[in-house]
Amino acid sequence: MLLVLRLLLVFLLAASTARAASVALVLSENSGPYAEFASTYRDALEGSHWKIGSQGGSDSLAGSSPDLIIAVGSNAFRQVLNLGGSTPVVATLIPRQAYEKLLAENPGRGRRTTAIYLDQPASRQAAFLRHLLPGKKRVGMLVSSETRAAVGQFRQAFATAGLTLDSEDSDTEQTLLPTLNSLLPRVNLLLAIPDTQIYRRENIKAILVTTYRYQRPVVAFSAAFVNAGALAALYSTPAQIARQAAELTQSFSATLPPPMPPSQFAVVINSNVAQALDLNIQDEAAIRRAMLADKEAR
Amino acid sequence: MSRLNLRQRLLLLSLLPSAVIAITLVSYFTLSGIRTLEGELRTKALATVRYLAQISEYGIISGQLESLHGLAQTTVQESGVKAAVIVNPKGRAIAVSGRVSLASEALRQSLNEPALVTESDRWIAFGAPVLRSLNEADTLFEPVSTNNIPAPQEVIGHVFVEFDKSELINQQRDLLLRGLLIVLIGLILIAALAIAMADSLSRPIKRLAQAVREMSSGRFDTRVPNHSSAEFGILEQGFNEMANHIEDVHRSMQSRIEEATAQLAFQARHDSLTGLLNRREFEHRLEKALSSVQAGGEEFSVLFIDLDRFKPVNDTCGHLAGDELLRQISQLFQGRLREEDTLARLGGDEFGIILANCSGSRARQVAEDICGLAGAYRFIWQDKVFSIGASIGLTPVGRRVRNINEVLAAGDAACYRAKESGRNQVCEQEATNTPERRHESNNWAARLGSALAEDRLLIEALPLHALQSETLNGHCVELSARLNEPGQAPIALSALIDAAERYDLAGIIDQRFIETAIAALDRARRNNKELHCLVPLSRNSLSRRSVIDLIARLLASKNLPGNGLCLIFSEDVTTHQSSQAMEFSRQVRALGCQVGLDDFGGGLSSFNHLRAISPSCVKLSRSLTRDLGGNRASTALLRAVQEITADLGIYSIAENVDDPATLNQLEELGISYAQGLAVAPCEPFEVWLEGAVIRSAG
Repeated sequence: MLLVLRLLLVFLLAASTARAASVALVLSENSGPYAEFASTYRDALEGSHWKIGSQGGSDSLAGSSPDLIIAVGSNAFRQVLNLGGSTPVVATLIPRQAYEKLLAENPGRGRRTTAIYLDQPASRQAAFLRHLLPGKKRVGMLVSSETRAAVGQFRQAFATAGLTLDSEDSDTEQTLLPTLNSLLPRVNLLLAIPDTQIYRRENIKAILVTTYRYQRPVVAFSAAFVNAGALAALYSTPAQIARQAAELTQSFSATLPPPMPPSQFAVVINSNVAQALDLNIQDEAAIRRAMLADKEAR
Repeated sequence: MSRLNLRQRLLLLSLLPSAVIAITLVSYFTLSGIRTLEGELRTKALATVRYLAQISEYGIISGQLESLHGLAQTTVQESGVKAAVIVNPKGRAIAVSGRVSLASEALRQSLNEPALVTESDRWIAFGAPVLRSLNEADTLFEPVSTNNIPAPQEVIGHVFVEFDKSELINQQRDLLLRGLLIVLIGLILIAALAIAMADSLSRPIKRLAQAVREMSSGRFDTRVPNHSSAEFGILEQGFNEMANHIEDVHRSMQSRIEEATAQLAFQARHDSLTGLLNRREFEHRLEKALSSVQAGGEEFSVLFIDLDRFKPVNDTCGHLAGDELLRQISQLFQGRLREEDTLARLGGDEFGIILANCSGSRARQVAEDICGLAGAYRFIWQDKVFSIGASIGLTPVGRRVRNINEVLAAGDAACYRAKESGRNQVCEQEATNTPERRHESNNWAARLGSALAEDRLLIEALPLHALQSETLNGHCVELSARLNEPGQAPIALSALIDAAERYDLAGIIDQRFIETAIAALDRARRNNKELHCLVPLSRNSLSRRSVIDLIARLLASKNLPGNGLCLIFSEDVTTHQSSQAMEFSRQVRALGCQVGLDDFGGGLSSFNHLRAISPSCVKLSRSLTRDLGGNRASTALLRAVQEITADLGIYSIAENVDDPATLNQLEELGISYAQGLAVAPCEPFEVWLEGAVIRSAG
């Protein structure tokens, strides 16, 4: 009996000393999606040997030496980069462009970083479009210098899915609506991808009004966009990304995987807009199921 | 205010405040309505401009000028919108619709929010910035920035909308007009109500005031209709009750006045003492009767009656007795008269009678009857008995009589004549050619006075003739008097004495008699003649000490014994003034003089005082001697008187014996003396004295 107790104690001690690791959560803000992320992340780490050593703004890192830093949001990642250090960083809730731009601005000394992007992979978008608007084959896309590089990827993915991508460049405010006006007549729908030069708060209404005038649905990248008037969006919730980040944390060892798209996704549809555009659309759950089935089938 | 009547005051009180309130209320609501209209316009304008700004956003952003123009035109088509302008951030108009009045400077201004830009009399302009709208976007996709301050919304242009105020002005004018109309209608209603109220309040008061005015002007039958309620009803009822009361009082006062007036009228026509008509009414009726005669009616007669020997009653028993006598006499006369005859007391002891439809012998008969009644009448007062008589003037009134003055004068003259001719008789006098006397009789005092002063009072002698052997020696004479007036018949003493006594001149006559008698006695004594003078004295002289004194003094001065002087007074004096008569006779006898009674046997009490007075002679009453021939009763009465007097040693004297037959009878009866035409004529005393006494033999 004594032996058994002793063995158990030794096991517990060995486990704690050998596997205890701390992770620091750096949040852009302590509210909204960031708080949701933190909460889900904490829950997901429960029961693992990872402890959240600190949580908060970038100043919460002072005096601690975490094994891993989870930067939640673009600002948090920027601040973490600015603070320097050699702790590996996982950037989450961040658009791909922002991640790449920040990394480019901080050509750090070979720091180990990776990211879970907000951007959905092009193949997933293509699948989504196919299930959302089965008959609409011609997909329009506005790109700026920020996103022009992704066009090829999309074009390939769409082609695979039997869709045609038609993209137009617009780098300035003045050219945006004229470009849109020239693009829309040619396509069945407009796919919006994260681009801070095109899809800004000031422009969204004008873009939506213009597409509406052409009776073209907009498929967007966030729930907020759908609220503003887009037909539907394929996106990942902070909780989904937090769970993915937790998995990544638990599987963390010396090396970090390369940046990755979100593994899980959500679908949102604005039925009012569908009605206004006289579109007959399946419900969100059905589309999601179809997409998942599609994926497994592949 | 105080010059207004009640209705006007009520109108003012009710109209003024309500008018002020109505005007204030309506102007307040009108003004607030106008303000509300302005506020509505402002709200609408702001909403319009804000809406236009919002819908213009996309047009400006997309640079679609046509759509902007369409928006402007749509805006202008809204009511009240005069012009709409959309300008770009540089202030250049990119869409215009309507007639723009705004200056280009105004279009270039920058606004933060929808606001009033310019306002003129005719229009009002509002402007609003066109803001680029910001969409809620996912913060996760926001670009990474160092500063998180959200940029202000970008102004991408302006819209201006001009509104025509003419509609507002019209609406405001309508509102004002409606307000004025309401005020007008309200005021008219209030005025009508106020007038009705003032009328309903003031009408009963006006009626009351009118009634009071009528009442005070003497219309006591004034009443107000009592159909008001509450206080007015009480007032009206009170007024009517008061009016009833006043009318009752007035009516009873009126009836009392009428009563009094009737009484006064009665008194004006009647004599209060006897209840007979008075002189005025008598003359009035006489006038009427005369005019009816003149108009062809029946002739009538008028009697004028003057009571004889009325004054003694008054003097001895007082006015109460005199009044009672007059009353009794009135009834006596009235009893003899017919219904249609008119009996009036003309004053004092004078009466007048109008005998309707009665003339000639019938009238004469009535006059004689009345005369007889008066003569036979005895007035009894306490224990005294008076015989009176009536001197009656009868005047027939025919068609020829011109006026009542003729009747009055004739009647008066006839009455006077009756009195003059010895009282208690009837004299007739035609109404025409009446000697005027009335005014003279009114002047008795002066006539007597002047007659005495001018010695026109003629003393006469009524000689006595002894019928028996046992009589006084010497001459016996009674003094009498006659008033001589120029151009007129002499007036007898019997007619004079009433007037003289009335005017208190009898004393002077008495004094003349006494002086004349004593002078005659003196003269007779000096001529050694025996003379007895019978001196009649008026009743007043009995109570005068001066008469006794005068007699005493004269006798003393002539040194005469008094036995030749016999002072005669009326027998009725002894009945009415018995104590005075007794005292007088005592004094007279103390002087040695004799006392005699006149008119003896006329009264029933004649014998009572014979012993007390113990006269030496009595003059028999005419009533005893008048009908001596045929009347056995008179004769027996005369015989009784004679026997009594003879028994007492008193000489009896019969007067007015005018015929020898009577004289013989008297002589046979044993009467002591006789007097009259059958004995000796009446002649002036001096003449008689000289002729019959002085020159007589022996």
